[in-house]
Amino acid sequence: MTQAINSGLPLIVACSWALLLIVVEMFSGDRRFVGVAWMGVIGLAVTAAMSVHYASVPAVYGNALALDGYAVYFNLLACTLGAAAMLLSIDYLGDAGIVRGEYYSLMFFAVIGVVIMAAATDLIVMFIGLETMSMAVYVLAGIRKSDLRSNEAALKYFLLGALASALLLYGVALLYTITGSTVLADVSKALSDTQHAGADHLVLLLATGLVLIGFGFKIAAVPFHLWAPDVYEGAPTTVTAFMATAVKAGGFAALMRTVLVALAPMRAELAPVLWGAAAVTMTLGNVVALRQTSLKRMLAYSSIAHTGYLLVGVTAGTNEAGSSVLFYLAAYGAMNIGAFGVMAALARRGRGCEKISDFSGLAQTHPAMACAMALFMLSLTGIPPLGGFVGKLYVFTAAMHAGLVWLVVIAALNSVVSAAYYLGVVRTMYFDNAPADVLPPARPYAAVVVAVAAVVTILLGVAPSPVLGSAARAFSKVLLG
Amino acid sequence: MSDYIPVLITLLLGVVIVAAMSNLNRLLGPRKMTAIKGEAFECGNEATGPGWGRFSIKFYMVAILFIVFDVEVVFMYPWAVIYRELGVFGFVEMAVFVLVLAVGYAFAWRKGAFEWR
Repeated sequence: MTQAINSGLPLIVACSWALLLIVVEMFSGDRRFVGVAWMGVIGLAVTAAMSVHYASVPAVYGNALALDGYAVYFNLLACTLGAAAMLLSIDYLGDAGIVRGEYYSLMFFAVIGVVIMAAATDLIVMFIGLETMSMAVYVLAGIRKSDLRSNEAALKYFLLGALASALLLYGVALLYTITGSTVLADVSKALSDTQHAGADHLVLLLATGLVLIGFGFKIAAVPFHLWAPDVYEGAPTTVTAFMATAVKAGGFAALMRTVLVALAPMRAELAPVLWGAAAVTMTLGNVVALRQTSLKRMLAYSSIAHTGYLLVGVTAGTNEAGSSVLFYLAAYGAMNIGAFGVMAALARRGRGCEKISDFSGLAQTHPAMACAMALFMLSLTGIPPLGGFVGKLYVFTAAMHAGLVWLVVIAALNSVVSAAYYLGVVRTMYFDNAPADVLPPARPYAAVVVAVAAVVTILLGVAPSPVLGSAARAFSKVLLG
Repeated sequence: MSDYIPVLITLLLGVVIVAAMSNLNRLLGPRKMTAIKGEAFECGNEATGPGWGRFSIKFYMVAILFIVFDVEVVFMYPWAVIYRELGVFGFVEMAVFVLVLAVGYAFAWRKGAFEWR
């Protein structure tokens, strides 16, 4: 009983805090909602600290939730990324004409959703986490109500997301008819204990396929990626930063537990599908990103490509690969929050700062911002000694050890292709001339977030061992047997 | 799998009954089409405007709020039935649930969702 309460306590406190945020926001006189934002950041810090304090391995609530190392790792990641996105938003929102205090509460709820997804050891609880996260992000994507592109983003995201959720739930239901359980470990046991032949085998394949499609939408894996560029472009930049990092981390948290624990006995059938998805996702993401003129769309396709790299790790499915994926998500989070942070820091009403050409000559007018942006672009390419390089190195090494030589070759070729568009941004910033109307100075809050993201990106590259170690510990108890 | 046979029967019954209802009507009922009968039925009012006309967002606000508080009562009925067995635990659980909804209610109120402007 006590353990059940303790394991649930971080979530209970987080939910109460998010509700409290709504109440505070309702009566807040400050139209910039600085206090609300800081309260959100503090709440996330409290949630993260509590999850570390109450971490324990056994699952509680009838094996539905486990605050194990894996959950705590994602909890810390999601809370950090959420806090960074909130701080980025403080100055950005008011200027973009978004006077809505519930923004921070919604973002808080989205983080809670990610945390539930990572902590869930039952498919239904995982689904609840997914929906908590998705509902909040649908609204966030459309929070700029008078902007048509924001409306389009929200509607597209909502309709496709609802479809994906329905497919996922249908898959879970079918899985239940075969195995008689929604608890991940029990599903795995039922699948490995009995040989399913004939009609049962077909239902099982259908169920697995539907679950994969559901998660595929959420992490924007090809061919379920079509929403990503439009939604990333239409949503406010700070929301895009959150979606590209925390939401993706949540999707992978749930996908990995499902595929590597519950569906582990289906390995033989799943491996070729994951292999193909990884290869197609990274190739398509990178090739299409080459032709983008909007930085936001380019980063959207880059995020699809990175989904592909991460899927390489999931395909490998070993302990080593799993912990590499966890590390990669942290490095990816830092460099992507930073890249979107630079955009949010320089954007002003009427000047979206969303085209790559908007950054012409940034090195002359904003040397620090240009330097940080160049750093993030190099890290996204995977150039040593930055976080992105170490992440890729470990994921690809783990995949090699798992025998996925050709997949790693494809991934390495993709990294070379990606250099073209990432370095294109650097070239625009350093070798093109600045336009006559110089971009405004960077916003203070956003500048701090960008600086921290830059430092983290460097640290993850230079001294990756602490985070690598915790990622390895976090993943060590996830796989069964 | 045998546990699911009742579900299958219910499903089949559902399909059969719906199919029977709609097709029996066509077979047995007289069909004398007049201009007035051919009009779209809108709760007894005369139909006006195209079906894709635009509605004020106010209606959606009311509908969404209605759904929220409607579903709340669905949870309350079974809770009320076994209230005595649940004891203090049940009371506290429902109090938390209602509190969460109350925050939503206050939010909707404060943001002017109930004002018919």
